[in-house]
Amino acid sequence: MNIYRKAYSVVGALLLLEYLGQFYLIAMAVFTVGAAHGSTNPHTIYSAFKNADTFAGLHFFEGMVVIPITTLVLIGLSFAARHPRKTTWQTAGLLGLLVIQAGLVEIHIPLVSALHALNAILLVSLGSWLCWNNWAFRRQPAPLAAPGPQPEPEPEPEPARV
Amino acid sequence: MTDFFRKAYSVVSVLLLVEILAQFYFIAAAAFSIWLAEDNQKSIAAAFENAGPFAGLHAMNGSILVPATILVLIGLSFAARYSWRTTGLTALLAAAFILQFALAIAGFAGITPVAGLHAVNALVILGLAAWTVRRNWAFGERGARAQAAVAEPVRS
Repeated sequence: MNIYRKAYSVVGALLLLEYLGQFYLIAMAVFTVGAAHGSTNPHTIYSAFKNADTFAGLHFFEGMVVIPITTLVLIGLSFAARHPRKTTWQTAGLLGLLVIQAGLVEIHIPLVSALHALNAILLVSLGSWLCWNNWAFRRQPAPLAAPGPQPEPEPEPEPARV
Repeated sequence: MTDFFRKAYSVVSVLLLVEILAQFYFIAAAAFSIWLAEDNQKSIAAAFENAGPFAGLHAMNGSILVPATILVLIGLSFAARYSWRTTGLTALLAAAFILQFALAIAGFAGITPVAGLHAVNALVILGLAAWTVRRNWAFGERGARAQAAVAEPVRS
């Protein structure tokens, strides 16, 4: 079971890297199109758009193939590691957000589709939270029973600097 | 007075968080204006023009509003007499923002592989801003505890 918990942590970290890769790739695509900034020549603009195709294509492939597979593996590992139901549901929530993420692109209304970026932040936040709370490589004595993720303690308010 | 500045710090840090989220939204709206257009020269050129206002909002928010809010936040951190650690981390936002600006310049200079880090650094800024909000929230029960801690005489 311990091996599955460790595998969950590794795959969770991999998923986070994939999310960051998505941000990186789409920024490269946007900057490539942005190279036509200031130009009114349709040919220049279209060329810049076509140059960005490689990065946009990689973003699409990673988002439609690599990330869904990694998410499914993570859900499977959550079951195998016998994580609490809450954790497994939250892991499945990543898949739900991923479906919304794809749906937002399909809406074809730029002002609505732009929520794709905010939903991506939700994915990164939930993914990071799950990875942090279920990290299996911390140097702690292994408890006898499998506990659920410990909630992070509320930070104490700071006293005034003197 | 410290309590007032701590509350102001909380409000301004939430405002900063909203501004950063708006940055993500504006640039995504600009990108989708182009990528959702038909794949031909005429449509893409028209879409590029339509994306202009969103890209402009992203540029204006990122070069005026966000840096001004970060500076106000640093000032409030001093006024609220937060620890050097908190003030330092608030100042780190300014450093991350300068890097963000440099990465955008790299993008316009055509150094795309470096410019891609603009989005990753944006996530770092967002995380830091979110941490600032959570760590120093001065309202409700936590705010009352913080006020009590401020009112206590300093032990010698």
